[in-house]
Amino acid sequence: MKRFMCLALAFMAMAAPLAFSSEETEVYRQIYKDAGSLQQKYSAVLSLVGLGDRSVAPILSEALDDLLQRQSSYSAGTDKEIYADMVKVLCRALGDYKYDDSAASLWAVVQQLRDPLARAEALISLGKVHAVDYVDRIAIMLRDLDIAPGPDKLADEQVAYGCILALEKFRDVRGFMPVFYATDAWYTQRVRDQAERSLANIAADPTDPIMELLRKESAARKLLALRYNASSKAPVERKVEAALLALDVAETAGPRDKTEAKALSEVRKLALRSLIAWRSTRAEGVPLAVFAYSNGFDDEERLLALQSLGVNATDAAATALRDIILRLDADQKAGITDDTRNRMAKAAIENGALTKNHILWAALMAVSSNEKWSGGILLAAQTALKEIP
Amino acid sequence: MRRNSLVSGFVLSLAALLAVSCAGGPAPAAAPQKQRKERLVTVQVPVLVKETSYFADGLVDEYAIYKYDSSLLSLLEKDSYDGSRPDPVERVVSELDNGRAKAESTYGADGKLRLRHEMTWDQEGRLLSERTLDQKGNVQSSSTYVYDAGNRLEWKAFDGQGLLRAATSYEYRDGRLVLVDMKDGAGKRTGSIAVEYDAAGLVAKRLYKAADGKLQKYEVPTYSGGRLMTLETRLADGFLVSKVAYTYGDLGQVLSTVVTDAAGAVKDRRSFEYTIRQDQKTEVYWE
Repeated sequence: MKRFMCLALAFMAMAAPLAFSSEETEVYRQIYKDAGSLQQKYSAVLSLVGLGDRSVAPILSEALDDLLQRQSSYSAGTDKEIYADMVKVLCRALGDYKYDDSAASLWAVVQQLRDPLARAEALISLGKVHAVDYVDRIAIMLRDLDIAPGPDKLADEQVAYGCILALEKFRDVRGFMPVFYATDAWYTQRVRDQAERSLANIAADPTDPIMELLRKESAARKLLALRYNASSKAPVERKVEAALLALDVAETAGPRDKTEAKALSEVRKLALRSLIAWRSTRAEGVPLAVFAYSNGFDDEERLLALQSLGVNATDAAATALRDIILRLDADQKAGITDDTRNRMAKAAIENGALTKNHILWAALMAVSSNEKWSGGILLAAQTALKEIP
Repeated sequence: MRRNSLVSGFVLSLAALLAVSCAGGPAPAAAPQKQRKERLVTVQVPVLVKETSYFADGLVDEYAIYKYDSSLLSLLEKDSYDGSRPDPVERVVSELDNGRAKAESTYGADGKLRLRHEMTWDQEGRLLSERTLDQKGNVQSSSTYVYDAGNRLEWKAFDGQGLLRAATSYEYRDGRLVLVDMKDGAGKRTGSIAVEYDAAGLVAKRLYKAADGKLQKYEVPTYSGGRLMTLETRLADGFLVSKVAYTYGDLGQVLSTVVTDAAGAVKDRRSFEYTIRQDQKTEVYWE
């Protein structure tokens, strides 16, 4: 016999088990039914959950209902503690088994119990069972929590954590907004970090809520929203749409002070970077880039605007670059010159070359024949001319 | 007994593996002129390293990583991960004694002990007793097992106070389990499971009966090449409750399981990934 066992062990692999139901399930199910005290029920539930047998889910759901109905009987001392532990174990197991029939019971835990960890566990399980009927309710709950904590800050944070994970699991765009606000709400860093991570998973295309945030939020939150836009899994056309909106709103918003002006500039820079990265050729981008060039907070923003025009490469973008080059050339001829203008001129010429558009030919010729420009700019113009058909 | 424990995570379609592993070796035919010889052969053994659970729409819900010792013989830890959370939501850590798990501790996402499971084994590697302790170290339940030379004969389940809550006995015919008889702590029958076999010796049906002998539900497997392909659970009137479908790899390892309900809706979908362990085994041949 021993020899046989050694041989068998030698062959034995570590693989996924096959799942005939077993007598353990039946025995512990019966023990649970026969249990009188809460402690006995808890022991039986632990054994049932430990079996890892999905067929026990209905009895676990019944056990949860039973607990909810008898809440008042277990409101003191040890029973209260066991009660909360048992609810957590049941909620977790029902979520693990994705037993969607238990959704109403899980929501009842969220509504009726005071224990924040049990409520959080129930929320997470609602997400795991994909009980989408509860998305709105959980989103509203988190939205309210995001605003300010109640008297028990820790408890509110624990429930908020459950809401965030539930909304992540729903993968429903309705969850985006409250999770977004959770990223910079009053919670501890751990919860805010989780909100950031969860946000990326909530919706394949979060462009609509991102655009809503861009329209109505502060410059700092606009920037945050635009960052999520950059990393979202939405189609590029949709992301471009949001970047264009960001550029627009950040240009038309009147900053109250220098800090806000700088923050809005950061929004515009990220929007321009996004448009460059996605090689946007959208017509709406041209006047917005021209505005950013003309009114840019700093040189970086203006250079990004020129780059986005070059990448855009449409006739409208080439025309805009031509006008910019001609204006700088006229200034140069008039003796208006400085390092910034030289830098802009070189960038406009180089980005003009990127368009490979004949519209730029005359402007580049004008620069290359203007001997007042430095050697570097003249060379850039001559090189660019070679790119123009 | 916990079927999702680390220990039982090792359990598998052993019959299928034995069939694969032993294939190719000539039978020891009675041939006086031939001599019995032995040779070392290398056997490929699949070792589960990752289990992934999916939502019905195919998106990943959770996954578990299995960690072993360097020989890939002893499972040390199972870490479960969930969505965007960087740290494990659950860790099950094994304590080994002579290569066999003597305890498994389950820790939650907060790193705190959630449950502890302790086991003892006999020299044949059979489970003799086990007990489950909660996070405070209080015994919640325990079990003891009795065997004859080859089979389990009895399982007794006790509550946290050590009171007998259930006694289960096992009946065999021709070396095969045919009846599981379940009684409560007072010796009153609570139900039974009858096991029927097909001509090939594979389980054909498992019938779950109430205390009065009335059929409650039954399980019907289908096989292909000796491997379990589907397992249906039906109520006494034949109503389909659930169905599990399995797919396998070349070495007989389960690659995926899909649980569907009566309407065919997917309720649970899992996939399993393996690494391969190279074992040396002595093969007997005649020449």
